[in-house]
Amino acid sequence: MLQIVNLVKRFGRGEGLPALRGISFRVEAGEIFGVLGADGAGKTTLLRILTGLLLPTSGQATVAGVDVAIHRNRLGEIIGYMPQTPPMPHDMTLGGYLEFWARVAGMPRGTRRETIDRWVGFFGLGEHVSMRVPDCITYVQRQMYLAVSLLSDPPVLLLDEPMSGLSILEWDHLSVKLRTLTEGGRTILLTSPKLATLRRVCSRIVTLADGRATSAYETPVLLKALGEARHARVFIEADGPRPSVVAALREVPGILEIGGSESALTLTAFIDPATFDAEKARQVLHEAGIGIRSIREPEIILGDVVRTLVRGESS
Amino acid sequence: MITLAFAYFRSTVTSVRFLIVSIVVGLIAALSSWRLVAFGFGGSPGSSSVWTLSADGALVALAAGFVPLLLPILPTAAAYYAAKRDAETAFLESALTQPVPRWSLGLGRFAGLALAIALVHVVATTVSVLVIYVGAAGTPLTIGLVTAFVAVAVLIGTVYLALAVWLAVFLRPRHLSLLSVPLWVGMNAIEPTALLMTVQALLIVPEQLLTFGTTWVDFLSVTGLYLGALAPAVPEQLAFVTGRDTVAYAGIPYGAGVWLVLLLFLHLLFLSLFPLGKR
Repeated sequence: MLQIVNLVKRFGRGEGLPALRGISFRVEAGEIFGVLGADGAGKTTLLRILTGLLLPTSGQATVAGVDVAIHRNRLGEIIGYMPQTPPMPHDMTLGGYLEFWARVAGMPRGTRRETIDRWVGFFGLGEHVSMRVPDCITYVQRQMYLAVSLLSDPPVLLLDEPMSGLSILEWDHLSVKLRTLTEGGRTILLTSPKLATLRRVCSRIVTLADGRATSAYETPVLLKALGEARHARVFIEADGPRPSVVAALREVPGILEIGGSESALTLTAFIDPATFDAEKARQVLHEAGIGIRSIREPEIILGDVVRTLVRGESS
Repeated sequence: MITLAFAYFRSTVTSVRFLIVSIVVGLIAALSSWRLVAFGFGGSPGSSSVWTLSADGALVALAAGFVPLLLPILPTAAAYYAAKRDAETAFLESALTQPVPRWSLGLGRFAGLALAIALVHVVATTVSVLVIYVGAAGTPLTIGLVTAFVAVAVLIGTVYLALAVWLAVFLRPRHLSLLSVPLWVGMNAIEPTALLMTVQALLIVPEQLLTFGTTWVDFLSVTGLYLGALAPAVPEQLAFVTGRDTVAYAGIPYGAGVWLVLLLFLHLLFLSLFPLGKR
């Protein structure tokens, strides 16, 4: 349903700032597909290219067989799109908002009411229809935006961080509805910076970092790869001269590299999560006469994981 | 298209910043008219060309001086606020992914902004002309002339809006606002009548030392386009434009219309090609 081949996007002239550096993947019809990546990884740029809002620098992307760079005026009929921060109306009711977008979409008067009622019913928004949108909770607003993107009943939905602002419970409820939407063969591509949200609903996930992408992994396979990640980062707040702290940290098992200083007291250390032990680190530093203020929980560095995966794929 | 036009119209006229700019522009226009009347520009113009010496006719002073200077302000402000709002709220981004042609959405957006600007220009110009009519006895004011003043102000405002929204494709909103000042000065400086008239009025010099003789340069200036569009509706004795028999004059009444069509076409074309801007 979606095919992306060696897609490149640079902003600016000439070589420009690369946002996407040649990504390729394929999404099958009826699939819920996830794009995982931290902020700035290129997720929104990818969706904007797929909706025809941006032109790719090179490469090709097709949605339902339509080349997004050539037939951009046809994409509105194929794609329903929800931006990361959809427009928030301050003076409209939820029903009025849906009516407004149905009008903008050029929906005939005869079918407008019926279509709105259908999606209001699907998302269970009936009791909120006459509420002002800013007075609705985020979960209701999110469903309203989803209803807007579905008004013209598109076969493909592109959702930019649809779980933003939702609790895990709310996202679980919404995930059920997203799965229902694919039952008729509709394809959904959604983005998120959090694997925990994508794993609940996506069958396959592609990971983006610095504009590069891994292959599309089955979700359990990706979870395993991330679980085995050998790159993580900890922030260590220590009292003492930096050279002494660095020398002491080098003696701590599992520390691979000492990074830059975040502040006068805080150091970044890149670690092997399998062998690094925070208690052991405290002990070693204490024995060296260095006071420890805190050692934060290790964070997996998504970009490093992706680079590792990409290296693994190319080798 | 109509829904989008109405949405942009409403969000523009209810914007506090746009209202403040509108009030400032309106007040400057009305006070300028009063000043022109009060300091010797009033009264019935003589039969000779006001542009050579006589200095009579506050209407002429208003048309040649203040109105062309004020007209670019609101369109630039409206285009800037709309671009900023679109970027902040993803409104245009959402609209452009709807199953309707992009040119139609672009036209709706443009119409909404143009309508909001027109509303202010209609009020400001009417008040300015009426101030002169009330303040200067014998001003040869007809319904036709007032209508022409208002219509031409709306037309030139719309031309300037088309220019600003087209430039917005290439610029970030803050750069658009920064560019508006040199653009405004530049478009007036090409044909400096408006600037000089303004300076003279501010210095209370009750004589006009320049003649507005139509040349091809007038196709590039706010003053030239404004006077050119207004000229056919102006009675002979007001002598807004000298040299009506020149080749340049033959085309100038249509200059603003030509610019409007051209700039609007470019705006819609670039909006279709680069919906989020070519940056």
